[in-house]
Amino acid sequence: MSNIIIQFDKVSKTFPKASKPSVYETSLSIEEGSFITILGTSGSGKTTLLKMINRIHEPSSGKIFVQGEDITKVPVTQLRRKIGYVIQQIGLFPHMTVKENIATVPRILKWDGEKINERVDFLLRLVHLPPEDFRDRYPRQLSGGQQQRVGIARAMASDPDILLMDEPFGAIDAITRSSLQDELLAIQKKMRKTILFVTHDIEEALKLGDKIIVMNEGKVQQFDTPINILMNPANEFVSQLVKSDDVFQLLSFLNAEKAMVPLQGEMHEKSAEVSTETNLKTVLSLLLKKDIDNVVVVDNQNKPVGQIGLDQLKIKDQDSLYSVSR
Amino acid sequence: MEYLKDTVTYIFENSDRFLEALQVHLGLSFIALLISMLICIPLGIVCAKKPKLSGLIMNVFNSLRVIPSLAIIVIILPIMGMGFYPALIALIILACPPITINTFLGFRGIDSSIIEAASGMGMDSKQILTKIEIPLALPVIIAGCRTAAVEIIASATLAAFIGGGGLGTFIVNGMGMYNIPLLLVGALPVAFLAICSEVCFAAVERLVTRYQRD
Repeated sequence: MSNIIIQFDKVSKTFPKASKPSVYETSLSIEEGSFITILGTSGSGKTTLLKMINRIHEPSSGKIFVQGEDITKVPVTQLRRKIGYVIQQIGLFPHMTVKENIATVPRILKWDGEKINERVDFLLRLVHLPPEDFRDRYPRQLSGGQQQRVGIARAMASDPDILLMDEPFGAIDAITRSSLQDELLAIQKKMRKTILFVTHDIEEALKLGDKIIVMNEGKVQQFDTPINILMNPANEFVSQLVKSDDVFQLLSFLNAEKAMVPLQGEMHEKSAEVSTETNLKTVLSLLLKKDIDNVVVVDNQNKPVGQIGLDQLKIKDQDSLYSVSR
Repeated sequence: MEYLKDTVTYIFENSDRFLEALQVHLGLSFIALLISMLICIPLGIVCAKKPKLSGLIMNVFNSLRVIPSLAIIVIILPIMGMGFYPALIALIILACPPITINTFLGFRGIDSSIIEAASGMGMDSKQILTKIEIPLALPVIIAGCRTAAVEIIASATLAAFIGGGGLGTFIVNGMGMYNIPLLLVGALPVAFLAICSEVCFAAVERLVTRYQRD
């Protein structure tokens, strides 16, 4: 049903003079329009994996395909202009205004002035910065959160299908980070971009990702949906990672949409209704009430789209279960 | 005040000689600055891009900086003889260290994440150089040229010692004859030129750092 937009075919990376690979042989397929978070500690190879896609790092072996094309077959600058790139240090050009920063790639692509102006204003509104206030400011006149909004707008300037984000909210305070996360989710829903988002924060990975790539010591540990990462860890490492945080707390970063199963049979009498955006911690507390067996998930038109029972919130891994009961 | 009056009188009575000396002084300074900028800005950029080369070149220029200008001019004399061109070469040698070192520092001072963002967006190395690196390094490069310009204008005075002409001629003659007004005919315009060049460069520097202010 979905198209594959990025494919890793037996890709590995060993840096010169390194004793072991940063990324061991990896094969992965990323579906078009999905929001993938790459989770790992520093040195896990998560950033290396990301930066091979726009050829900031070249793989030591294997091939990467973007939209079916071997990325070494197109000029590197051309490849990069099709892929938005956001980094933790933001890297806005300090001598250029917000508008000039965002217009960088469109200008290289020789768009006409009118089209660039429209695009800049559209993107500024998309990231919630009123164009008339922000267009002509210089980066140093903006807060960190505002700067990264411009960073995101700049990455999306030429309307790329893919966005690569390397810990974009890592240096931003917790409150601003949370609202930026919500906005990024809304932008992704609206624009249907494929986003690859590197983070070391499990809460961020769970909240944002349709799927999560968990990496450790250069190897992909698990590539799965957030709910499966949490409830059905593939191995000891993932289980430890999930366990290191309070599971109830983590449930609050997942919404009902991520855990629901298709509706079965007629509506149950003993059920409650929640929206797709309700977090699973709330769902669980509803399920714990004695007169409720399952929860029906409804979309924003109040149409039932799925259901969640206690079964869906069971942790399959023995270790994790132990940690919960403790 | 008496000296000053004599100085002004001298300038008016010998305006031909004065203007010619001023012209030579300005020409010598300007050409020396221009040539050293043409050589040293690219050289500084190359150094910033090639760390292996930069160690050697920076060491040479740092030690060159220690040698007093008079010494350089006197060293040139037995090699190239007297006249305008030896003086020019000496001035270029004087101006090279500040311009090269500042260009190098200006480029090295650019936050690497800005370059990563630029290349990650698909700018090629020429676009990065002209649109990002040079504009960002420009204030530091201009500061280097500002130092060099003042050094050149002051040292061009010494060119008179090796027959290079310029306002230094009045100073050398004034010193030799213990004629203070004549000495001032050379010294005051040189001081004035040095201040003018400072003011001009400061204005340019302000212009290219507008984005750093509110």
